[in-house]
Amino acid sequence: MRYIKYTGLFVVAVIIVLGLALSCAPAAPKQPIKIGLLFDYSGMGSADIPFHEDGARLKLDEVGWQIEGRKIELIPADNGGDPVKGVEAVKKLVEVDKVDVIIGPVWGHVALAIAPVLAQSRTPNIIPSGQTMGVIQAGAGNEFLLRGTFSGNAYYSGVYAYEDRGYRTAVVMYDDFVTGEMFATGFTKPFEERGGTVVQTVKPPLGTFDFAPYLTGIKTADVLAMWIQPPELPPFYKQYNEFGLKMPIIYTSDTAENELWTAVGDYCIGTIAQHEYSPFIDTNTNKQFVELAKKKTGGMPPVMSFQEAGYTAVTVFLEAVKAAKGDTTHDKIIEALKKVSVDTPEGKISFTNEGMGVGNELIVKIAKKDGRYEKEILKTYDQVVRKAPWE
Amino acid sequence: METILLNVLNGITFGIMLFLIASGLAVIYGFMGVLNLAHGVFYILGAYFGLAALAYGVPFVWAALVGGIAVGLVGLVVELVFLKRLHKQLNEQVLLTLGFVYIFANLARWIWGPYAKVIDAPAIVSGSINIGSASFPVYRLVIIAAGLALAAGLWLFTEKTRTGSVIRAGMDDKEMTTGLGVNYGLVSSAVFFTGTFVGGVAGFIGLPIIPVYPGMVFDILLLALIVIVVGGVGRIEGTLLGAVVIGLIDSLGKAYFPDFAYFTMYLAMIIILLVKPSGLLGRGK
Repeated sequence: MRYIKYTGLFVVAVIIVLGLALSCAPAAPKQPIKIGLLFDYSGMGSADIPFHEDGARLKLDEVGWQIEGRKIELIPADNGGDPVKGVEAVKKLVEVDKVDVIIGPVWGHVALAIAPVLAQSRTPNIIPSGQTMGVIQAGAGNEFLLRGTFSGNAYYSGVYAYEDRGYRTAVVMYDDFVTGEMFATGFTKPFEERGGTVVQTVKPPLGTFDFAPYLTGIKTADVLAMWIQPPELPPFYKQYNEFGLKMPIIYTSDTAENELWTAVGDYCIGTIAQHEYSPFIDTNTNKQFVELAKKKTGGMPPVMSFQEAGYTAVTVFLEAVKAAKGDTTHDKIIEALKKVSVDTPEGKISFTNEGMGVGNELIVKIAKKDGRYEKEILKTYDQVVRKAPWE
Repeated sequence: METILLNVLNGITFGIMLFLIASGLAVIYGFMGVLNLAHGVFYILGAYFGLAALAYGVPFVWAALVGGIAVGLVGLVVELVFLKRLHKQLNEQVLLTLGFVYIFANLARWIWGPYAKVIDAPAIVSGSINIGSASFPVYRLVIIAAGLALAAGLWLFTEKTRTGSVIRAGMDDKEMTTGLGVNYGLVSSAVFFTGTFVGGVAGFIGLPIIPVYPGMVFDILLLALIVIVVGGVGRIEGTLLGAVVIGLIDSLGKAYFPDFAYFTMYLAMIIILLVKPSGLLGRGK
């Protein structure tokens, strides 16, 4: 009996000691925060430098690759500009890598393809380029459109054309596919609502390089408002000039950068466009960013806008992590992103409850500075929801 | 009237550009039976090589020749090392040349970047002429003249010279031609060089109208195939006729029926092939 009593006491003592030992053991190391980058590292849409990733790395260098006591890992994945590849890459990021957020893609058709996949796990998705409302609709509250929608990215070009330039008639030209149509609508609706008249709409097929049949029959108006995909810009501008056309041009949403404007040449000088970023934004945050980017690239980066978008997307995410006190469960990050308000090179950025980016929209003019074709800022529409009012 | 004239001129220009794009492939496929899917990539390489020469101060015409010769040499290597072993093996030719598309297109991207490149026409032909109150670029007239000259040259070479007869004989029956003492290997290498040379020159002289970028290789290939199929395989005059007909239908369609612009070219191709399955001037079976 005494033996049993002492044995029982011994077992209790062992349990207490073990319990104490376990409770005093050092905590398991915190899991790193994983950021998935979904961009075009291959395929015909890829650039020679992964600009978005460069921008993301700039921001992570700045914070020493850690936040809230957790290390940060960057996991790049290639979508090849292809929805099928995009879905495969997303599945790997979500199921194998178990990322906390996905930043990207650029292409609208890839974003639409991956949205239902991401909706299943509610993985937060920050998209740093214009998209359609369909992406938000296909999501489950986890989609965040930093740069808003295509129509939103062109809306203020229509407002500006009528109100500030005094244009009353316009010829509207756009590549005949959904993105082109949305950019065109973005310009046309506010222009007509204010009393402007669209005298002609011209819709060359996507991939047109010989615009002669369209330029021959083009009518005369106060302005030509157009959006064609960037590789078509060089032949368009040259042919526009060769056919003796003189109307001022509004490129409804400036999706081109210095490299392409260089291929166009001086014909593009004076073109007015809407965009979300210019290296000439006169704030300390932007000046610091430009200096950082220059240091990294050894000069002005060729596609500054992408670099900034990558930098800003990571900035926004890190701000949400801070607000969630390092808890990166999807629901916590989604809630934090909805409340985030952070200063970035393109100005203050926040999101609406549905995930639409709120920030500045700029009216820019293409000007030549130090041999580069840059976006000179003419006007800033402060803190607007980056979608068209009817969306 | 003035607009109609301009639209017809646009159509002819586009047609001649299509001929320039397709003629190299027409020579190789029509006279060698080799389906060279790498034609689009040879077209852009010609433009890039020419641009490199232009950057070194080589005059426009010479830069076009440099582009053509450089691509011709690349083509010659491809023919001598690979295609020579695949005579009449269409599937293997398709796979091999498709592989070269990816290799050369990615090399081009690596060396010259992904962005479109386009140049101004040489100063002497850079202006516009007035047609009524409208303008028409002089360089487009130059392109029409160059295309017609090329067509005439290729036609004379293939139809009126002994070498041309040998090429056509080799296409019909390689063994018999070789049995008659003809060095057909040399002939086929010369034809491949010519075809890629023409493709390369077209890529460069088309630059003031058509930009080049690595992503366009399949667009160029598709246009070339449409023209060859519509014109008829094995005859240069067929390729020229096919190109002009397609160019005119496409341009006039875009001008007068813009809502159908995406498929006027394909609609024309379908109708022509339904009426004449071997193409407008095809030799048939």
